[in-house]
Amino acid sequence: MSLRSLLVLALASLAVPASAQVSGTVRDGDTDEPLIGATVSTAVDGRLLGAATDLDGAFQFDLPDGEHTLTVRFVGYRTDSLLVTAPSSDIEIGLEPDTEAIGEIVVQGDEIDRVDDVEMGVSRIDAADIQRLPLVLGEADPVRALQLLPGVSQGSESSSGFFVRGGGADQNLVLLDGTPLHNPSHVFGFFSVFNPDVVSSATLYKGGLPSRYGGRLSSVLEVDQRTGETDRVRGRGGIGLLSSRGVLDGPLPGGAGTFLVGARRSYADAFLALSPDSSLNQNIAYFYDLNGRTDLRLNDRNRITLSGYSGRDRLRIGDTFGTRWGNTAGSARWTRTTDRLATSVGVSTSDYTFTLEVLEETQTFDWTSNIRSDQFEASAIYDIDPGGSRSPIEVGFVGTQYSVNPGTVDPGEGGFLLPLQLSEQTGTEAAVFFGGERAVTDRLSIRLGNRLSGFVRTGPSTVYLYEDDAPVVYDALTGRYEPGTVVDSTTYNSGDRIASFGGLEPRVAVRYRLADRTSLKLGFERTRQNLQLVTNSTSPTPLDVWELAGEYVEAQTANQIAIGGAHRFGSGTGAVELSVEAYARSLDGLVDYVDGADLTLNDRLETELLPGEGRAYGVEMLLEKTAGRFSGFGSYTWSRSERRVAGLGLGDPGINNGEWYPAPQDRPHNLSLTGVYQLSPRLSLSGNFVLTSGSPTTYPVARYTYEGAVVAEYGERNAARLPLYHRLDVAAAWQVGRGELVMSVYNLYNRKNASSVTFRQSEVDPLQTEAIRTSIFGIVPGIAYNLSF
Amino acid sequence: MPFARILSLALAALALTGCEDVIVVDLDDGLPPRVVVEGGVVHSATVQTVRLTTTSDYFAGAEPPPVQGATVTISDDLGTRVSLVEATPGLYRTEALATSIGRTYTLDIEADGVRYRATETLREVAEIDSLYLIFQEGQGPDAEDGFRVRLDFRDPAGAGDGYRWQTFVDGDSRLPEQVRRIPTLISDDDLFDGQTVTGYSPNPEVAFQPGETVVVRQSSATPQALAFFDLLLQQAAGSPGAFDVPPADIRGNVGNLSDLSRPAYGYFWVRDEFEVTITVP
Repeated sequence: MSLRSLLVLALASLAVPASAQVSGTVRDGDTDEPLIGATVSTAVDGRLLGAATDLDGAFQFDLPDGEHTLTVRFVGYRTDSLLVTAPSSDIEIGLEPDTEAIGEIVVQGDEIDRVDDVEMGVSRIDAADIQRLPLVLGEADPVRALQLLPGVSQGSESSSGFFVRGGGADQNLVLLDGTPLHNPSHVFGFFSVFNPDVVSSATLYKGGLPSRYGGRLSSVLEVDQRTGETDRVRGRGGIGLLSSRGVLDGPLPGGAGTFLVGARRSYADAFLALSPDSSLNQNIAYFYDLNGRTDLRLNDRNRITLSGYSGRDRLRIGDTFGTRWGNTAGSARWTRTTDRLATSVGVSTSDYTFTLEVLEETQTFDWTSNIRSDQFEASAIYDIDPGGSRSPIEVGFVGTQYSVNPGTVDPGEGGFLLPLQLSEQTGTEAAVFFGGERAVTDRLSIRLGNRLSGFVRTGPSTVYLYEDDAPVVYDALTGRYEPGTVVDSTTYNSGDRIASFGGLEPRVAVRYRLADRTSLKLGFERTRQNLQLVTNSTSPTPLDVWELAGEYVEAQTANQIAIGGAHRFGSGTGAVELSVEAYARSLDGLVDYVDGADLTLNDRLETELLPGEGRAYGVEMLLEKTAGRFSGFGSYTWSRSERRVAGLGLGDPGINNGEWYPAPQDRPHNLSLTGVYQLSPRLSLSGNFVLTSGSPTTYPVARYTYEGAVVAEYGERNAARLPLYHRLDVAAAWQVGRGELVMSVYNLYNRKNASSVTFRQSEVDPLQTEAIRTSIFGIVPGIAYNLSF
Repeated sequence: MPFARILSLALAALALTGCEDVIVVDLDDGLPPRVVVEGGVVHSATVQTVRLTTTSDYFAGAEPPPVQGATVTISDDLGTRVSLVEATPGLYRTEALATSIGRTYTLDIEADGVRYRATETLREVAEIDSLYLIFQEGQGPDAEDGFRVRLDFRDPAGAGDGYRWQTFVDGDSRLPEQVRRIPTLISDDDLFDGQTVTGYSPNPEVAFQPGETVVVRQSSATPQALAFFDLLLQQAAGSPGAFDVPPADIRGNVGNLSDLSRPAYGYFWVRDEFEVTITVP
């Protein structure tokens, strides 16, 4: 049970004429650990009465005398019901983890949450469901699953990078057991780094960000590894077309706690080696992930959690070149719980390193870049009002040290190349925060939080100074943006302050319940981001380097306001819930790159970028049915994401003459339909359909010839759009013995979705030009066998 | 850093070979044409040429329309000025220009009442010390077995030297001319300033076969010219793919004195050249 579960549901128990009290404790049925924020409720005369559990898993509320059926719910656990006679005390409830539930698509914990939860814009996907969705090559992937949710869109088919509410891929904070991962993807982004057997749940905050989170503008994706089983050692694994994986978890000797270890490896290169073609069988291509976690129980009140991850991608093309990249992350966290106070202290570190090896004889070199973050956090949750309507208050501190090496070129022996070292970057981010929630009346509930954050960019570093303080100049005659003239440079020693940024990040969420089945919500939040991914390509790549805010690149700020509502129709297995949210967001401190900017191994990025601003707005709709033999959800989002880059104010055009233009992640329409039908206890069928606007792109408007090559004259940046993207996937899952066989077909009707449209000269007739559509996946069958024992 | 970028692009291309097909796309064309300048000054060449054409609709499928009857002059920073004469429609030439390293040359054009100007400095290029051939098996998809050209040269001390290599094959009809000529490389000297460069492969993607006569030309390029050719080569190679720089107009160095918002396309390239010819045995 992590401290994140401040998911406290303030139910309408206060104003009810009190007759008899019921009280008790909700625990994890396996580990006996108290569950914080589980809901215990019952319906009385059409009204929902109940309470959320506190830090000790305890609940209490009042009910009319007599018999009642209490329903107990918690995210990631099977919902339980029990009959009680009020008054009643010391009710002990053990919830079973929902890790092997069949056929459910639990997007959010359950039906209560949407209507009664104060949170807005939160989506969860449970591990068991991730594996049942039809996915490319049969590889289950939490990030791919999240892309089906409203407000989330896919970077491109070749990218697990995702965009939340019109934000860039680098505006998502991706946490594994609380540790940020800087590039959570494999195979140029086809797959995320999360082994589905290791993941207990994936929670995406696209709004309603708790105040303990900061540092990214758009969203937080919180992926937690499972805690090990407490009764016996258990294993689970899977064999797929692309990769195989295995996880072992269980109790530590002497009841000291639990452990979990997991591994996954792909074997594309094993197939390549079988090829008789020497251009293929000399190649190397694989990725692997190693996961580990242990939860140590020192005594009833003190626990320590250690978590680690390491993954690598490796690709080598014959004797020409190769790459390797990956993340290594680890954390240690100590949690102490007393009656009214839970404190937590943790340290974590995370490194992402990319290496390109060029093996061309005398031009051999290694090119390496990396980012590392070291974090310390301390937080306390204090229950100011045990058993009352005010939820615990959380306060805390987070400090993060970033160090970035944008590039080192290390030539091989005997070559003519010289070593090169780009200026390294160092920065420190610190934040203090508090947050709490209060039920003002039985209908009105408010959650308030604030965060004060600061960032200091420090030496050692060399900062270039430019003529007229202009790192970018505009040549009006040729219409070109050119690097400014360096007139001097300032050398900062270790620890010297280069630039600093900071401010408050208020977070407010209000929920008003109109009726038992309907609620309205309102939220505001501000977020800040002090580093950004230097990417000038259409989707994120492993080569992209992070740039810390500093002398020339500002920190970014976003303000978001959102309004939403939820309503539940029907009841029992026929219940359907509809939720709608509208949001608007403004972004300051954005940059965009001048036309044709060259960002590779560039030590003076400031000469290639122009300052700008952004705005994003949209409406998200989600209809879901969670109970019964058929479950599923449909989501539709209409949204826009735009940028404006006015230029230098020297009569220069900026980008698109300073008009608003679509950001690369702009996808006005986004529809997804997902359903699972439980045909029999052993067989379930599932399908999903996705339809999205094509991504913005720039098409030619005219052509000319230079040295015999046809060259395009382009229109406004991002004024055109790729063709509509859509596909249908289906899957069937059979329980076979102790395992499950999943067969899937991705892109059933073999739609050729364009990942890009390029223009080129015909090879047959050089005077002719043609538009070329590149599509990554046609119809892809997949088969996987998942086993647990 | 175009040298490293070419490699990373090649890497991305190999990793992500998707399925390609030709589609029909509606474009917002029908724009008024713009002037395109191709050519420039070659050090010590007898004839200097500048070709003037205009843009046309993207799917026009015809030779570019020539700009005829223009006034074209080249002057240097010592005040010498020569006029170019239209030899064939749109092709202007002179044999009267004497060049020297370090001079700055200005191209002036007046076409249909609109005046254009470009300025660039002539830089020296290192000589190719030796040129040789190495047989290599093709590596990676679509790679051909054959001879690759390697060359040695000495980069002069001092950063800022730029290179462009062009490879020509005589009598080769396997590929259309521009496809054969364009995949040439460029590089600045950031990673080998002042070094003796050995075994440099100017065009690793092209394999030559026995009997072919190969001409390798090494030319000097200013940073602006490198930036221009970098983007030109990316486009000729079929950009933009998913990993490429978003498409944008390639800005040259020819400005429009009559209307700043409509500079000419193309590049007035002032360079020194060194050529070596070799026959594949």
